[in-house]
Amino acid sequence: MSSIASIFHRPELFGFDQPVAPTTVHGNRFTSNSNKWFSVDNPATAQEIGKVTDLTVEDTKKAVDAASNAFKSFKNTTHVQRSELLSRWASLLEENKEDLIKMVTLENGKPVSHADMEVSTSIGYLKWYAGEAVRIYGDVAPSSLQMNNFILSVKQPIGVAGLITPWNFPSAMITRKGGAALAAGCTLVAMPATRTPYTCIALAKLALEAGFPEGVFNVITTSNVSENGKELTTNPLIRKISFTGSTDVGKIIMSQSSSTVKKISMELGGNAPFIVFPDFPVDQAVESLYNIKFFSAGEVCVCPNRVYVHKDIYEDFSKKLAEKVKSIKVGNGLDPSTALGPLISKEGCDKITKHIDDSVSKGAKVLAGGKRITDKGGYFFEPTVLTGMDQNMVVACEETFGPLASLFKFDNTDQVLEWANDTEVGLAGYVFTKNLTTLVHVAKELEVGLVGANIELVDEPFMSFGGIKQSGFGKEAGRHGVEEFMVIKEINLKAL
Amino acid sequence: MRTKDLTKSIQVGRVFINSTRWPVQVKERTFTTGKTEPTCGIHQLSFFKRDYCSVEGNHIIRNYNKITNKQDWKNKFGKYGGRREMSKMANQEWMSKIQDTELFDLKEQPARSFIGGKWVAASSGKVFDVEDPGHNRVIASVTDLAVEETREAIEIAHRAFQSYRHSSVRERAALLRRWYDLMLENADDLATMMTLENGKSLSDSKGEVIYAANFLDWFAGEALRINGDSHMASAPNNRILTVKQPVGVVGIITPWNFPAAMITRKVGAALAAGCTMVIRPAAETPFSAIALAKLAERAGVPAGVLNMITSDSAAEHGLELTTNPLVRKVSFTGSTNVGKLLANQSSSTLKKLSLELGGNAPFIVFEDADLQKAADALIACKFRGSGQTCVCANRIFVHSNVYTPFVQLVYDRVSQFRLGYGLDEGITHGPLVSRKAVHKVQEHVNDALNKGATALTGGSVASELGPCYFHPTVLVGAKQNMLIAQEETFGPVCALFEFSTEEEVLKLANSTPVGLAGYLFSKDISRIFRVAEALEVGMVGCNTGVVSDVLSPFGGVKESGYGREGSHHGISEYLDIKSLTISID
Repeated sequence: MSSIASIFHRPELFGFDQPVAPTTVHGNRFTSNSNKWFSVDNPATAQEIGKVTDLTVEDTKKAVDAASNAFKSFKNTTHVQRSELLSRWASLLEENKEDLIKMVTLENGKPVSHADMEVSTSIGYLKWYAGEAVRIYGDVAPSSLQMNNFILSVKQPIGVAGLITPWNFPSAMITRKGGAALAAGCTLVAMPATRTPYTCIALAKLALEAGFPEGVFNVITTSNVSENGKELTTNPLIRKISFTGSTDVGKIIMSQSSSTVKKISMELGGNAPFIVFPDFPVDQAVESLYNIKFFSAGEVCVCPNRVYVHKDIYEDFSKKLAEKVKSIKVGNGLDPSTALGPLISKEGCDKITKHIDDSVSKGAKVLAGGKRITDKGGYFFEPTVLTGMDQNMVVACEETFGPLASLFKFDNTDQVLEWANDTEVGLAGYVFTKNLTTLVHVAKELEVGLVGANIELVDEPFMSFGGIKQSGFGKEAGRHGVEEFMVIKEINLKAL
Repeated sequence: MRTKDLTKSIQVGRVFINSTRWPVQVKERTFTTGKTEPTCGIHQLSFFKRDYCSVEGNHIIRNYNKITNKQDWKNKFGKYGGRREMSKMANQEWMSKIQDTELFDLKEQPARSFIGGKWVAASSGKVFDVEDPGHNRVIASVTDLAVEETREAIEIAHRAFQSYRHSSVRERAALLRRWYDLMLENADDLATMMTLENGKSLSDSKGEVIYAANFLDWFAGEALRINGDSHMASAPNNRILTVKQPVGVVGIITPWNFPAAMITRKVGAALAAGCTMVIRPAAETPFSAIALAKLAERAGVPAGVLNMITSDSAAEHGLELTTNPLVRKVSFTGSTNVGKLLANQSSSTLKKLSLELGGNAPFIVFEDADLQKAADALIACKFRGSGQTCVCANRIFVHSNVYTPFVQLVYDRVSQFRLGYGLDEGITHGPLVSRKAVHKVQEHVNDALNKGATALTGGSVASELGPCYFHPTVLVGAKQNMLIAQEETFGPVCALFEFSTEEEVLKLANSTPVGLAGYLFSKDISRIFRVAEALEVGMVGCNTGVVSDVLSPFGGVKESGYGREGSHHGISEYLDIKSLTISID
């Protein structure tokens, strides 16, 4: 057993008891017949955490078959049973929270405090869906024909769901989608990102332990996401695809899914505006921006990408932010005092560098940070504050996905709204003002699916999460989360 | 306390009192049962129009119940006294303003009730007069039904329910929609009559007619959306459906302040739900109700589905509606005291109740408010219907930092009012509904002035216009110990209280047993949420003085009653939920 395995209470949850970590298909530990594997690296050290079985398209087909077979009986479980299963799964996450937190930090790099928040949120999702499972209501509509017939609309699970999840929230994205699918009565095939498969392996194992029947929860670990993803989006047995990731990949998935007319939910990239009006206390606004911008190294789709600060408080705001940012402790996420971990990869660092270079060449100033940290081994980047940003810079139209706060100066509401909406995507947006009129106006006009009004939190189990424009469609969690995995059936019932 | 030599102001016989509430010594009182009991000490008695009493020396010795002894007095002193001639003159005057007198059942006197699809007069031949508060003249007489006739109406409604409950929702929707169209076609006549019987300015009346009609249109849509739920059951072989069904016969008791809207808001929902009903409009404003029944008849409401009874006595007919076992639901808008009485009476047969009762609305202006907007909203909110609406601001709390400028803004606006006869051109505010109403307003004003408030304008009866006119009044320096802080004034008195902190004003605003509407003006989003959530009311206007909208659930908390009208909640008040559990193999 490797030395990494020894830091866990239950190393077998992640498959560390085997030379190559197996995955879960049809309720069993599953290793690809091809005997291929891929290695997963710790972004803080750029060293291998371990090896994971590398599934082929043939294996994926088997997983889909398993899910399809399991659906025949799982769809007939009662809502109460599913609710209990979800509650038990949530309890098991709670019991194994320490291990899960460590693994999220290991494979993603985020500090343990952030990983803790992520796992807690994951548990919150499962508890929420446990409650939602017993609240799947349909309608009875009156009929225009006779009094002795009812028009019933009932909701039923859509079928096998394919879940394709990203590396930035290895635990939360699986539970946000998987919890909804299972509450609805769907079976699923989950394909986690190649960089972060371990958390998903553990979650599936815990789902089995919670009592979900075999074949209900299947996991595909693979280094070839495009081929295996294509299998998921084109296999006729799959009726629903839920994807979180980039807009470009989302478009491909949608195009592939069209051949079998799958129902799709897409949570794609954002380019969140963060607008601070001068009547809002600067300290509070800086605190909020800091909390969300540097959360999980800024690799969050609801992270503010463009920070619009009113000209009257711009200097004050940028100075205070820079001060705060300079004090951030960067390091290995496993160290409890770390506030900012590494990025996921070298490509992540390159993208920030590109964004900073572009901005500086067009007149922006670096107030804090600005450089890659090379002496720590992994993919570290200094937390950075840029001022003097304008709409011609790449940052204005592309998501940075890193610890870079780009500050734009604005003059009036109309102008900032025009800028804020001048992007193809629309996931989250933030507005900070005490003025009711401005707040309501901006919240209404922002072309996004989620608005944080005087708060940076837009992602919790009670909220329906999702974007508009090219940030995708469909909602997760909240009152609409389970609906995404259900179909409505109208029954016109006449009593004879 | 003031005392008064009663012999000079009250004569034996039918009394038209022009003063209210003073302490009198009462030796004995005779009750409707015929029982006479001695009393002692000073009694606060109220005399209203149509009260009957006899006086001996300086003392009232009998205070008869006006209903049971009315006929005696009529026999003794003639049916109409000298007032009949005057009212005939008045008749010709206003009749010329109305195009379709048939709409108010005025082809022949008296106007009748609508029961079982027929227009019927009381078998006793009794009538009561409806007075125009603007000129204090009789508009016309209306048939005065006996309780037995109301009982009959309930039975007819019950029979009609057996078929109407099976009507298709599409029919109901079409019916409501036709009724809506007819209201709009007759809007001018409806508004004119409303101003005549209620006194409110013609523009207020026109506004109400549209507002009232909108409920019919809304509930036409709601009829098609009586949705139930389907649930999965705990047992795998069971399925659960919930269906909604009409509750049955509904008793609807409405006030005079919105003679049309209070009827359509209730009746629209009841008809859409598939209920049949007996409506008892206020005796002050029966003509609007008669016209609505006429239009419902023209729209094709099946006979017996909508019954409208007119009576002078609210109490006896109210008792019948709230105790008759055939009535399954009572919806009432009116005072809290009467609401409690009706709730108590309804308890014997456990009727489902909706009560929209009195309010004592706080109107809070914080220091960061847009004062111009707040003042405009206050004027609209406080003086609508001359202050006689249950959502009218009653206590205006203004932050001490903006108190003086805000008072100035309010004063400027109030001084532009034109008080006068509602049908006259350019009149913004009409008379109050009755002398009784005027007396209460005067009492509140006097109390406030005695306790240190100052009237910037108004403060007295506009006797040059008539006994029911009260000058729009702005009181500054209002305090919590004043009557106006504790009771709803229901009149054109704008009492401005000063406050300095949010905690203080919230405490003051909530220190009342009722809670219907509340208003707050501020630009601070956090404060708006804090205060709106903390106000113990059913409706909050944030930076607006209007909370009435067909689309918004209307109703109060605490002693302002329960139940919601309008919005998608409105119809559910008239529906029962039935759950069907179905077992499958």
